[in-house]
Amino acid sequence: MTTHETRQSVATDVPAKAADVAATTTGEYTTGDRSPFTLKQLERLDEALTMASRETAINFSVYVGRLSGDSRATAEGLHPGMGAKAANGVLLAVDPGQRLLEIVTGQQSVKRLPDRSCALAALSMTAAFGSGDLVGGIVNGLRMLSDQAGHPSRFR
Amino acid sequence: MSVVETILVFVVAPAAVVGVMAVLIWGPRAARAARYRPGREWPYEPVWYAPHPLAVQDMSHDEPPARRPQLSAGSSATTAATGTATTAAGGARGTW
Repeated sequence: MTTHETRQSVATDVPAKAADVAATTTGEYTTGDRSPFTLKQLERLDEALTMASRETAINFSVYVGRLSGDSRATAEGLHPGMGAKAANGVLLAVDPGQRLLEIVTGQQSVKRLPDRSCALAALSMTAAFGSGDLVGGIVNGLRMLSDQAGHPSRFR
Repeated sequence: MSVVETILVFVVAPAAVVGVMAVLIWGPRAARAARYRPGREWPYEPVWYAPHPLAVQDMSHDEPPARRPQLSAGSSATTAATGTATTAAGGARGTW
């Protein structure tokens, strides 16, 4: 939390690092009262995240929660929380309460995922979110983004 | 038929049947996580899902090492120089 003094007035409750919140993929599934998703949904999310990241060598990550204040600034403030992989990372930040989606690309990943591709994925994601399918929208968005980015060796 | 038998047959037995059906109908729905409905509050804590750490690293070993350093050196240099400044370079947004 200490690394983000600049936006602390806007978002004090938003975690600063991916490690601050529960990660699904390390095997420790947390489906208590506080988890918004079921085990099956978490498995779909995990598979989509891991496959997208493995196919493209881009570090995708998904944030689901409140984006208080200026949502774009909050999402961009979250982006460095991916650590060393942030430059080659893509953050999908979803705020179901405010019905907002922010896709943030890093300095490396933007070369393979231009804003136009992200906008297309965002469009398909919001269509699914609008019908109440959060996980389906996220999984589809990850799939579209990874298809757009392609295989790393083929790209370079 | 005694009073007890009458109560058993006409009150307790129907109540038991109704109870069993209620559990069958609403039980699974209550056990499931609440469905997201657009426009409702989102009462959950923020969660951040990251891919398995090996998923990204595995790929980097497949690539030719000669080409790799150019990109990674450039990126780490900029992150080191700017410190905790923003790493965001683009993206998109959407509402629903």
